[in-house]
Amino acid sequence: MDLVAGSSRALAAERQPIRHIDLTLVVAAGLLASAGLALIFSANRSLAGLGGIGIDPASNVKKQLVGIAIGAILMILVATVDYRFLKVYAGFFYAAAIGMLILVQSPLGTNVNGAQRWFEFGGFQFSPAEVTKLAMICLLAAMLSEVKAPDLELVDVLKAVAATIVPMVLVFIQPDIGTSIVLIAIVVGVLVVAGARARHLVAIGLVAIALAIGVFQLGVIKEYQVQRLTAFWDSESDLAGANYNRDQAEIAIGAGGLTGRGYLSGTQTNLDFVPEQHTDFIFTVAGEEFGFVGSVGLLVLFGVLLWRAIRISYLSKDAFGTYVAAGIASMWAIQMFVNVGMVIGIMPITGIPLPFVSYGGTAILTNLLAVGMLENIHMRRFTGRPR
Amino acid sequence: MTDGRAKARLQVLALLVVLMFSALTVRLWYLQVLATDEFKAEAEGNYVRLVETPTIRGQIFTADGQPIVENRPSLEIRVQRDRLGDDAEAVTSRLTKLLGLPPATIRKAMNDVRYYDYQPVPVAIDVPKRAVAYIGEHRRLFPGVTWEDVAVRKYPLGELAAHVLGWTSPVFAEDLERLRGKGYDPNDVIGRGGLEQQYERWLRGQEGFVKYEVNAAGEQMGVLGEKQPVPGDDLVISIDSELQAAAEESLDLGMEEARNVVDENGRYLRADAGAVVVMNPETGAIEATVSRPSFDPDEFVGGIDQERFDRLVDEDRGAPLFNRVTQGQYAPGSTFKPFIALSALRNGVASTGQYYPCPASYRVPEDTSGTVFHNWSSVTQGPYDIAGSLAQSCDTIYYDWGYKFYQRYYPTKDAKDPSEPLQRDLRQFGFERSTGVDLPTESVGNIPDDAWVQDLFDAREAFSDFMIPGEFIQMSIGQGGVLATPLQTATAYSMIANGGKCVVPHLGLEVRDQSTQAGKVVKPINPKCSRDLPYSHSELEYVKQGLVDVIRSGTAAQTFAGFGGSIAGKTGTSQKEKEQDFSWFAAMTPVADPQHVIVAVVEHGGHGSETAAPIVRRVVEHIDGVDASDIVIGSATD
Repeated sequence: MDLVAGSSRALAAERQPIRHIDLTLVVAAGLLASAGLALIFSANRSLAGLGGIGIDPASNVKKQLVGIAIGAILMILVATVDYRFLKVYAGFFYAAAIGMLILVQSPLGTNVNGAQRWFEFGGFQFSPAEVTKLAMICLLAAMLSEVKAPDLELVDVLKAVAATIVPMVLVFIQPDIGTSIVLIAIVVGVLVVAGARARHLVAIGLVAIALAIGVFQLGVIKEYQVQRLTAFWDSESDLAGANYNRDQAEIAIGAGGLTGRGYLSGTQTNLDFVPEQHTDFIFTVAGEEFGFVGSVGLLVLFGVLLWRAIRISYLSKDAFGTYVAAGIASMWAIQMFVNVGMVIGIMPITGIPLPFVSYGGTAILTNLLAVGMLENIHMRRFTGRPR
Repeated sequence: MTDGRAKARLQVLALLVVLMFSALTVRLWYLQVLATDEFKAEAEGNYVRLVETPTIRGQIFTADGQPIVENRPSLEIRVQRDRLGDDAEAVTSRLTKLLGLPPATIRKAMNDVRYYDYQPVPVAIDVPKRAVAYIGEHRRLFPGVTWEDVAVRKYPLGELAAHVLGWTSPVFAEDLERLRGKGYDPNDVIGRGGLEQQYERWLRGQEGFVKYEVNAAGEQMGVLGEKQPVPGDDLVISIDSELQAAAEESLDLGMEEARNVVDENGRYLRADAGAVVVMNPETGAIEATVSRPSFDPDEFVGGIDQERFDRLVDEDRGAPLFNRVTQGQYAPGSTFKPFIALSALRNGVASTGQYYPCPASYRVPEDTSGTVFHNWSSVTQGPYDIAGSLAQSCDTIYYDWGYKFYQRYYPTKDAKDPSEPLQRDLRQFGFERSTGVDLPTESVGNIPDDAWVQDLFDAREAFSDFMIPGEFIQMSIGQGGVLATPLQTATAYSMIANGGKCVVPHLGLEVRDQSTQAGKVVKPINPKCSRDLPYSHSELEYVKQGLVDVIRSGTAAQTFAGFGGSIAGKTGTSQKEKEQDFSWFAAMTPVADPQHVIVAVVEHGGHGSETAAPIVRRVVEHIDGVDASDIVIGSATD
């Protein structure tokens, strides 16, 4: 009896997902978020010093903490409900995301510096583009996991691309070039893992480039819209400004040297030479104040994060889980690479935040949500498996 | 259910991620390890701003403690032309209106080619605060326009001794080239001409700086370091302000009186320029130095444009900036005779016991061409001994001595070793040599010799390539090719006065540190020279006695009638073709132990005894503390 009861309890425990939580992933994400808080504090200290009487240098840190707290709760919630429900509601999430992206263009959305990206309530901003990435991942995974053939046919690929184009355009016109790029990376990543043929991907890529050129050339988009868009990434008019940002970022990173100039002691950081430093250029704080050791340390944490995500994709018991994890891995990888790459001068300047580290409530919330989804897949990799 | 194919495809994803990390790490390695020094320097350049703290230039004081060059604060407007862009015309007209200056003034300053475009060019000084406030409030209307609280020079004694002071101005492009590595930057001021240039090293001082930490907006966040400016040292000069004033007044009065005198051709003397120098024959200290015409040093304050400057050096206007004491090269006339006499004594051409005839004219014994050299007097005088020849300034005696020197020269001419003892002796008195005075420009004059004639011949200005008797004859009375400055003459007379000691005239007495303890002497100035003259005490005293006789019974006796002091001197009348005579007088006082040597020259002033001698008399009366007599134009004797 004891033995039986014990063994049945053991079996029940074996089946309890919480026992299979991936601690490494949570710890890596937690360490990145903590590092982010420290770096945001350093970056914002100067703003407070900049004659900003009454500005609390830690105010952004506090807001970020709120984001982390909400994100942690959501992460736990998402982890508890079997991820296969995500597949069921994937279409709904997708529709909701599209709805919010349209709504944000209405007067309900807030325009900041010419970009219509946020809903604002009570001092907090919510950016639908961030959560759109996860909705997109769910939809793609749901669609492609239904394909039973070992390789994807062109029609499957086209369907996936078509599903991606809608939110991509909506994000693009905000304008938010960065998130558009992330969406492309997600669809490409998921398609590769789901078995799209290379020639299909290349063909679609070429058509996309041709279309993009055509749209601009034929004036389908109005002149002012073009200007508004181009001003964001490669505008000649703002070239000096962009070059200044890049130069200052490189100086900050390079001046850090091997071991850095010490926390809160970076002159590029403290004296506000690097713009947007608590958001897109957060990596420069690590680079200047903690040097090569600190920058690589941060990259190592990302390495761990991506290793766990890919591993979870690998271990997933079903295709949906594999594709969701692969999508999340693609999302983080492209964001990390483009963000750090632009800061150190090997990628163009686009507004992509560094996952977990950059200041931004919706972003941290989205990323923690993604951790919850990964944990969900990881924890349930045994349950429901035919024995 | 993840099948093997999906696993393989995941490896593709993993490989991409690994590639991403590799790229990022390699680039970070380059930026943070390989090239970090470069970036560290750039970061430092970003946040460290050096702001110069201006220093204050040293002042100049006279020997009697009067400030002669001071500083005063002034608000200066400067324009950095490379910042003007296309607005140069508009900014010029706005500044014109705002400052109420003629447009030409501002345009001239803005087009001044002496500055680099990036140098701030001073446009106006003593600008009212309200104008600067207006510019400050309308920055966009005045690109490249800045203002600065500067210290500019002030001359409390007015035009007194203007010629030796020099002036200051911003450094020009050429100075920046020339002074590279000496710590001059485009905002600096530099001393030009006169004492300002000569003692630049001490007067200048050192700028300080404050190292500020600045943020990206250029706001100062804190002080990183500081170096206090070191004020320039003060200069004390040997000019005695009262004696200087008396000398200036005497020269002015003398020239004025001379203009009422008619020359032998019935025209009024022009007496349009002149010089007076008073120096201590023992130390070389110059106690007064006057040059006429003069100028107001205040003209240079705030910058002088090329046009005004050209006017100051225009010879048709008498070149007021030209310091005739050190740069005026004149035939010394009969003031040259004591040195000829001493050389004649030394070389056995003449001796003290002997008397020489003084006919009204002189011919070279061997000359067949019949050239006649006249005495200044048309009657036969003498005979005189050497002293008498000086007292009466008998030219014909000197002509003969000059000819005797020629005879010594001529036989050796072909041997290509012309021994020129006369020229050697004259150079020992400082003629044709720099006196070493502490001023940046000095003329050296000329003593005719073989080399000089050859140069003239090569330039086709002489008929022979060797000295002819006439050159020696003319030289013997300080004419012909002889040129000397008033200061050279004063220096040579000093050597007679002080018993044959070489002396270096100088204006600087000492450099004092104004920053540490008041009046601490940083550098005493007493230049030495070691070439004493080979004349015995009795020879010099003998010549000096001849100069005493000039006053008592000689050419200047009438001028010094009723004079109560003790003085020895020599008149000189130097002739220039087609021009009125130049009037010279060189003197020393008191005779027993001379403390002052005084030399006066008046261009187109007639005879030495007419104009220069009365001027010297008045200066000496000031020295002696007796009431200065009115200038009375003397007799027309040499």
